[in-house]
Amino acid sequence: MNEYEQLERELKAFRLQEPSADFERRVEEALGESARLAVRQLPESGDEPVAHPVPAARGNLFFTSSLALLGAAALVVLFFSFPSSKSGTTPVIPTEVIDLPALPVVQRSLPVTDESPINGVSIEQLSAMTESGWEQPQAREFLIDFFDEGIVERPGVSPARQYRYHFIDETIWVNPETNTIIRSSVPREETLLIGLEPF
Amino acid sequence: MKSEPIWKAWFAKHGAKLLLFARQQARYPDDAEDLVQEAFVRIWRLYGHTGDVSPSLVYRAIRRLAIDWARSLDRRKIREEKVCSEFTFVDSFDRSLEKDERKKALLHAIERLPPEQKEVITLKIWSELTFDEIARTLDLSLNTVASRYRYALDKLKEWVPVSLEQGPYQKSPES
Repeated sequence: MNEYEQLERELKAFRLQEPSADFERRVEEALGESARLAVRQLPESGDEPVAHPVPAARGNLFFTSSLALLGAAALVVLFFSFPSSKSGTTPVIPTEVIDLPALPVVQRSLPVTDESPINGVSIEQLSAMTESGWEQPQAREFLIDFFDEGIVERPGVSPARQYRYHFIDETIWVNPETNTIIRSSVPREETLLIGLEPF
Repeated sequence: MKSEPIWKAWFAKHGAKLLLFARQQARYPDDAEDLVQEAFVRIWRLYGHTGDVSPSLVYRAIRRLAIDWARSLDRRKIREEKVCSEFTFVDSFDRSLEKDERKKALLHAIERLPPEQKEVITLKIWSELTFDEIARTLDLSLNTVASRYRYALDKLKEWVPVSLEQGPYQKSPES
């Protein structure tokens, strides 16, 4: 047993004070439109299931059909998440199921096709956009951080110093006619090897 | 069904931990919330659309911002004109801890740790980062981080019984 385990457990049990509501409001204001970049669906108070007493026979019927529905939903989720589990990791299944026909959860696991916008915009699509009132896209690159990963051995050649860079490539498309702006941010990683001269 | 921005759930989970770290990094306690806000907003604007941002990115951004701000003479002048409120490590934790003598003694002992050990303890225990993430956040080697963590725990083990005997408000012998 780790000699520090008891102490670590004690320290982890300390509860931190939560940030003030005023601070959270300030963060929300500072986020601006970015606050709505990702949202999740929550059941409203009226949507919460209300437990009604049911006769025993009806209760059993309800239980059986619910079980069958749950089983079917689980099969569908497993089926659609199969292509994304190629890497050997366990498919992520949400622990809270809000509603049985939870379509967004299933959609999240759909395989990505070549035509999907997630794969970027092709040259043909870009030119089409220009024709229909889209301005020339603006592309920018942000360096997030970089790491010196030390000296690496290379078979057959001299060793090299390895640097890893993390970038965000941002492309913005603007259509002034329809007042539409599309922004795409894609993370990118680059590894730079600088050969070292042995002496 | 109503929708809620995901950042709120993310912030509810990590906000207090980020603030604790920022208070240690900030030259002035009043800067801690500004640091967290600035770092979080920057990172969320970049990665927020994914719905999940690695907390270690925000910790790293806080540290770098703290260094930048400390270098900024103008900002320092403005801050020096303000009356700095006293901040102690204990202030970041739930007040109910004060009822427990051992917990209180532990917190006071952490307060006395050298800053470089305190930040490692904070990131490992409460921020739940791995040693590798801590090393990247603090720009240190993995061995240095692990050593600092071990030294800090050794000191806590050594100090806390002494603190309890003497009472938490009396000074224990320095290491």
